Amino acid sequence: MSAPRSVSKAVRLHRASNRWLGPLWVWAVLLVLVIVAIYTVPEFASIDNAKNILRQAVPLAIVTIGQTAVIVLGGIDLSVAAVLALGNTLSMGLMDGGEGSMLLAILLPLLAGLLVGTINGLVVARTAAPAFIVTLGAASVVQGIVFWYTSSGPYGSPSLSFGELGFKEYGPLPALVVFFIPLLVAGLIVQNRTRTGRHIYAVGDDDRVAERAGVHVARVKVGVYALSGVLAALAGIAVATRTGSGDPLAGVGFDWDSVAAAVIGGAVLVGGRGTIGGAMAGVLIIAVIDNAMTLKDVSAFWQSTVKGVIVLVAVIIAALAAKDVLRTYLRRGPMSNFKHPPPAGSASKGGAGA
Amino acid sequence: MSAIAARLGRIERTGFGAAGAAYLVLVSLFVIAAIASPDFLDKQNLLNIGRQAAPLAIVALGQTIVILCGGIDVSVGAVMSLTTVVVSQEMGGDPSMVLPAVMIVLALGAVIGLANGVLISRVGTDPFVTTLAALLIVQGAALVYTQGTPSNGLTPGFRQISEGELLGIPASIFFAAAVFALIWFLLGRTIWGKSIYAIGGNLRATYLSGRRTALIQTSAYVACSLLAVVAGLLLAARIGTAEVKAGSGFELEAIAAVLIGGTAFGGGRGRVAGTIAGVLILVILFNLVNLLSLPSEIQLIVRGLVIVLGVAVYSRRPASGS
Repeated sequence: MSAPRSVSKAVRLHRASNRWLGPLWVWAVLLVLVIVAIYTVPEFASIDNAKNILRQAVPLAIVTIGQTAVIVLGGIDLSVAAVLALGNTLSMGLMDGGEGSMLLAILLPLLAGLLVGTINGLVVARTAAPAFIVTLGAASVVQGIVFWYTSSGPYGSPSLSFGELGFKEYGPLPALVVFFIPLLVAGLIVQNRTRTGRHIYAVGDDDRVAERAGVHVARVKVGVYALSGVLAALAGIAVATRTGSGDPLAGVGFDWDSVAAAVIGGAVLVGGRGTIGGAMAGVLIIAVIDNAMTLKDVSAFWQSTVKGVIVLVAVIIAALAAKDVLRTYLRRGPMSNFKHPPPAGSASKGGAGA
Repeated sequence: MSAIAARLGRIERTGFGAAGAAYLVLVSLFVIAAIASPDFLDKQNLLNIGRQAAPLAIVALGQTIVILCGGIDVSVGAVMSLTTVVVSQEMGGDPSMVLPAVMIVLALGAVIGLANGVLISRVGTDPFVTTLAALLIVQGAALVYTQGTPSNGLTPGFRQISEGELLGIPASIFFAAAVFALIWFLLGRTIWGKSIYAIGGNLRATYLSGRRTALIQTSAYVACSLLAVVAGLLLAARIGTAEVKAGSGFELEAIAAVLIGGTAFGGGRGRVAGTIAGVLILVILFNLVNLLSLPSEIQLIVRGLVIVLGVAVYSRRPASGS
């Protein structure tokens, strides 16, 4: 056994940056995108637009922190869109323009998100049902409840001080971003500096081994899905700061977008890999593309296709990186990956099982 | 005692146990539905169930192949949507264009399946994310192709593939039955079918025993996409209009039907007959909600509950070792 301290300083720095920031190539892609946007979209390069991108990225970023944790766990949470709509409409319905019930209007939606997430987690942890079916089914249930609660129309309204929050700025930063930063820091610390964070990776890597190593696997799973539910509801409240009322369709697109952001950021659906830092780069990539395409007046119809292509590129890069394909291909030929097959249950098996 | 245990073991191995359980649920559900709603046993209602079940059955049969070989395809719903808008626009109300339009969508389906299959089997990408990307791209393609407002050019002759009747039974039921027979034969009686099960059981062992695993996996995804196209054609013929979102949700229902039917997520075990039971369970439950004339929000809630509960109760862990 070689002592860990024999690792050189450069390697340690590389590992630290991978842990806190995620894969550097994702940030490089973001940088390239920004440069391309600056040169091709005239309105892109302004301070106001930069603030706008950040402000718009916050709800997706909140959802994506939870989604990344779930994916690292080896699962997936496709109920976030519906839970976001639930948080959004419930919060606006309780607030309904008044300042008095502010605390209730924030706490109750979070509790509702916690409830949905906990149920998701319990079903996933206790049965053999794949996570994406469980959470998609939950999405159907929750969205039905939201439609029933709002009669499928705009519902409730923010109080005056709450509505201002979406446009207020503290110093150079939009208020939403300022509120988001502590959440992000907390997420990064939990991921990198706590036992819980290590347990999530352990369960995602191999839950049987984790169980034998003394990790309370079911508890970790339930906790992470619950967290994802709470964060989705919180994102719904954050969305509400920018709209005049609750919207039963506020969540549309957040499910696939958050998965895409996590995957672009280097998370792998079979679990065990992925970082909040990388996922944040993924969120910014999606936000920059959405913003640039809107400014450039590209038809909204193209946005789904463009996102699909980005996800495709990300998953191909992830596959090539995981197998070191280019190098082995040159040495051994196309089927060389079978010389070193991935551990049972990964790679060619469907992900999102836990 | 031990003889019974051995027998049960064999039942479990062949996968008949889970499919059998699905049929047990199906029969009891049928009885309950007949008691709960007097209209249920009406001939017209039963044919309606068949007409509704046909597209879902076909897309679920394709999904069964992919899940059996250890994959998943979430792009089928988007492929169905694309099929309805493209076939309708290419047809343009002209009966002589029916066949070319159908050929075009089948070719599109084959290309999508081929792309999914090659990426997953050769490059080694994750099946879920790969087909998710395909979903996003295909869904966007349908929007761009129609600019959001699909033209409606389905000819009355084309609609006969779902609405036409033979001996009083809708044509779409015959289509579903034919597809079922074909897939049942291919999976159970050919080397290709055995290889699909083998890959789902153990990809590496199958490769090492000389099967061309990448080719077979790719063919599974192509078959799945082609069947999604066929299901999309039947769907277009049934609803009579092209819609950009016509197929959305079908991926969830198809996968749920496969899992409720006793096929293991992760591959290797399962039967097509179970999938049909899963499809009928879902469709009868949706039909019951319709008959009891519950509001659409309640229908969404029931749909979700049925899928979660069904899958939670019936899902089986994949074969040991994974």
